[in-house]
Amino acid sequence: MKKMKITQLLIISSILIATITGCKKDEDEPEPIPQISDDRVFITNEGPFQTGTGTVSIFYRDSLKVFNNVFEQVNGEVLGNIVQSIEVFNEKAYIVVNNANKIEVVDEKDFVSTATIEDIVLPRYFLGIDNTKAYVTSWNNVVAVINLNSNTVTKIISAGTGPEKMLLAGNKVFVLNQGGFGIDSTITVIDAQSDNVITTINVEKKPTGIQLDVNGKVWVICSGNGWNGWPQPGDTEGHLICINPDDYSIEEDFAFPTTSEHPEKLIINKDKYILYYNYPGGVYSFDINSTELNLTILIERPTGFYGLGFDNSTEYIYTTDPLDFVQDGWFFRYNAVTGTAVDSFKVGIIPGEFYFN
Amino acid sequence: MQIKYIKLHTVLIRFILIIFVVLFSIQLHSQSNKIDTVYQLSEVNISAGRLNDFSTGLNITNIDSVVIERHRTSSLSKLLAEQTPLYIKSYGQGSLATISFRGTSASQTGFFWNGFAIDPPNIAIVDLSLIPVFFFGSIKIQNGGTSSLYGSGNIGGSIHLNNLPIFSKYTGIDAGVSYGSFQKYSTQLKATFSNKNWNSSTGVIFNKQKNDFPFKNNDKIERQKNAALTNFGIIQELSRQFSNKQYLKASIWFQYANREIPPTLTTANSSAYQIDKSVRSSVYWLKNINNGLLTAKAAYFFDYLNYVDSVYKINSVIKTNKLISEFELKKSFWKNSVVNIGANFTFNNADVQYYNGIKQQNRFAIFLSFQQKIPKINWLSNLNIRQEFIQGHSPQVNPSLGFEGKIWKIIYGKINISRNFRAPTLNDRYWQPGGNENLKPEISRNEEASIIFKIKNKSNKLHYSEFVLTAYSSSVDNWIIWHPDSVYNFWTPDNIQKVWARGFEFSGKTKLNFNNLGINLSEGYTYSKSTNQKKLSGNDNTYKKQVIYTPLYNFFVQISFDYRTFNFSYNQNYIGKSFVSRDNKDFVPAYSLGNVSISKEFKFKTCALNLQININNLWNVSYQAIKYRQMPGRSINILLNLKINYYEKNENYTVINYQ
Repeated sequence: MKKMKITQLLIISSILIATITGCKKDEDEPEPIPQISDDRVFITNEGPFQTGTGTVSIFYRDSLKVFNNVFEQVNGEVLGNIVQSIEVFNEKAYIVVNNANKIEVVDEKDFVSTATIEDIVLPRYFLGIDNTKAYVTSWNNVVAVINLNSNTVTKIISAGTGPEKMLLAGNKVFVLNQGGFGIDSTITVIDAQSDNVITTINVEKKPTGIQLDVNGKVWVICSGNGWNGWPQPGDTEGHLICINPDDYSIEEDFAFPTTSEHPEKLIINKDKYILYYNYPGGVYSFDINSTELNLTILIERPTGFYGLGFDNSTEYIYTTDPLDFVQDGWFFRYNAVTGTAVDSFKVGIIPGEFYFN
Repeated sequence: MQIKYIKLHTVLIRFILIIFVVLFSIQLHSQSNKIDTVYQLSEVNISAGRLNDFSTGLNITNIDSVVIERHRTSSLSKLLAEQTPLYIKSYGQGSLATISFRGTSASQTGFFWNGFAIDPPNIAIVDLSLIPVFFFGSIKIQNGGTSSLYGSGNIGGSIHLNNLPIFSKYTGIDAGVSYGSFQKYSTQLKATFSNKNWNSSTGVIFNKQKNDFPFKNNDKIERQKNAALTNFGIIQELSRQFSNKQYLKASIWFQYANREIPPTLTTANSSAYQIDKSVRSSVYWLKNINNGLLTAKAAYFFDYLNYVDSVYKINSVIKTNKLISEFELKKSFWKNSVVNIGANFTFNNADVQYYNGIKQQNRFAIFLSFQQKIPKINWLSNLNIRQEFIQGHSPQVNPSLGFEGKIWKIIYGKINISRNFRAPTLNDRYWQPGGNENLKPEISRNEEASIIFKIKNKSNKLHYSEFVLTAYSSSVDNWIIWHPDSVYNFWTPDNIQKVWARGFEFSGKTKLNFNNLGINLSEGYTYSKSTNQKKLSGNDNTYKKQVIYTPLYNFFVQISFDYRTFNFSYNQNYIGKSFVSRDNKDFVPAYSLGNVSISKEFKFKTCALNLQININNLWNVSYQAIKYRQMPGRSINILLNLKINYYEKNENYTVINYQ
């Protein structure tokens, strides 16, 4: 009988322990919804690959405050997997969600969702053309033409492999064919009026960054084939190329010294004569009047950066560090002249691109 | 759509209940004995395998044969999720499911069939969703590190699958069909023929499911897309008992699966699919010698995986081969002691398109075990040592020391300390880009102690009760993490994380018998705190944070009533909140699921018809095990199976207790 009691006690207590300790409450403090201001920077955080959702952070320059996960806070829904880029056009912000095949359209001021553009396979970047039209690059090797009134795809323009960043120069759109899952080395030029391809310019392998300088010339950085720190046979060196947008001739072509180190991303200063790019060791600068690639390091950082942006309002260089790509990353601000660090802020998982208001 | 779905289910439930009542009432004779009780005859039990003999101080859970029978249409992942407090990381119904013990990772878990590690060498992870429960008569779960017995990867715990052949005159056929929600069809067939010298067992399964379950996504009801599954498996085992105390067992197991890969809640439609094929074969030879046992065994495993995603333009084929041979001698040289000495040779080969050519690896290991009963106090003491030699990165020697025995009356104790390791996988070493050939093995130290209460009551009312409480602490250093290379262009693995996993485990089993009524109660609870103990940089927010996909609390309770030939089981499990980001900001909420199983057996002379109804996720809980990968709500599965058994009584027979 005594044994019976012990057993009963054990059974009851074990169930009790399991139920009590198993049900602990979660606590989470809600973040305040961001205030309305023009003095701000949008940062896209790609989010964890495959299963997670990306987010958008807003940075207020005057108060130095960061509001993370803004879209979900405002709209109660998540954005989707891999938030690739954000662009503001006609008082709307267009958030490109790569792996969800959609673009979320929100009011630029309060981030309230107004529409969703769907049916674009793996969208990458958005470029506003005029009041009713925009282009979106898609890894389906096309550029989709969007009607901004109906938020639908009206035309598909064939591009090279893996089209990414675009640049509007005059009436022409230059589309970098980075290679997607493979390798490409071309730029597709589209007439922004008729939406027809004018020509295809052959450059070097993996064009990853494009900027327009003060003289109206187009600068393109080509990363070359291969990975940094993983030299393999068949690798090619990077190139910094200057293109004349009128006759598409290549006016300058600076080759990087080795096939084992590759430049990436390209930004330009406010007055549009100094270029900056990522290269092993940190951020490097290049004056468009230089006659040779002197590999001038501006911001030294052995582990390098991921995202790169130039803020014309403060003339700071913004960079991102996603740490291990699975926890919240950071963005840093640097003085563009001296290369000295200003400050840094924590944002979301894998911060990648900026939009400067 | 939601309303329609609920209605359909209500109709279905009613329909089933009516059938049930009808069948129940037309049944004339009912007997309380299950057919399986035939095996309670005198037997010669031969224990082969280090798990049975030399795991002193560790806890091993045997999944009850009745539970295995009830899960005959399930995959192993489902059975373990319901019947153990272990954490199953499931990517969705029918999708990849992995298991981890005590806050370690899936690749730190051992997975054995017939005593051979079946994990493919490229990833060293076994997909539990592809293992049909129906094929195995014995499923054992062992908690704690056993690298001293089994080598690489046995840090958190291990799973052992087997069939134990019996040599007596017996013919058995077991055929079943089932149908369930979301167009799930399944058939199973098992045929066993045996006599004093031979035992042949054949198992076949075929499953097909559409898996288009409804769920709520942002207030919209959607149906799961691209989640269909077809799988087929066949297993054949042939055992021979020779007159001179020699035993031979040859097994072959073929498995094929074609699965669509569903999209997550944050991605667009998916058109990806995956084909898995595997051939596993093994030969096991035993000879009884004077006071001992001689074992020689060999296995060959082939795994094939083809992943196709037309959107991402991926068509990857992975082929791996594994050849294992092992030799062992177990002998008792003096009273109350056993010595086991053996060697293992493993050859790995992987043909992966992301490697630079086909990669191969040789592994050699020698191991020694010594067990001695301590006189007077009657405790078992056990020392195991294993040294593995792996091309390029041999680990240090892995010892373990264990004790177990009676403390006082109904209280027993167990202690075990061990050092364990996991060798880098072929992907870790050779993946292009990033593969790191300079990786060191992960090293783990494990300490644990258990208190066990065993209560037996001879008055036959309270039949049996056992409660086990375990505290453990284990550290894993050199933990391999894939992280982005310094310039963020590719990912590379390094020995960078150090994890301290500690916690408690509780499990209990109670069997009560009242005349015609049998009650089985089992419960399990785990508390596992597993934190990163190394700070990688000043901004690193993962320091001292819980390892991802490791819930702090898990538990399950199962109660089962047997009344004559009628069985009712209810199961409730709880999986605590688990973090999905290493800085513990993002998490999957906790969930608790209820499952019901009702069955009725209709017995005839040499055959029995069994009708079973399972309701999974009874309370229709919306949940995700992996964030943004939706799991199904309530589902019903009806199965019918026929067993034909013919056996001769009054015979002595032999059972070989592999592993």
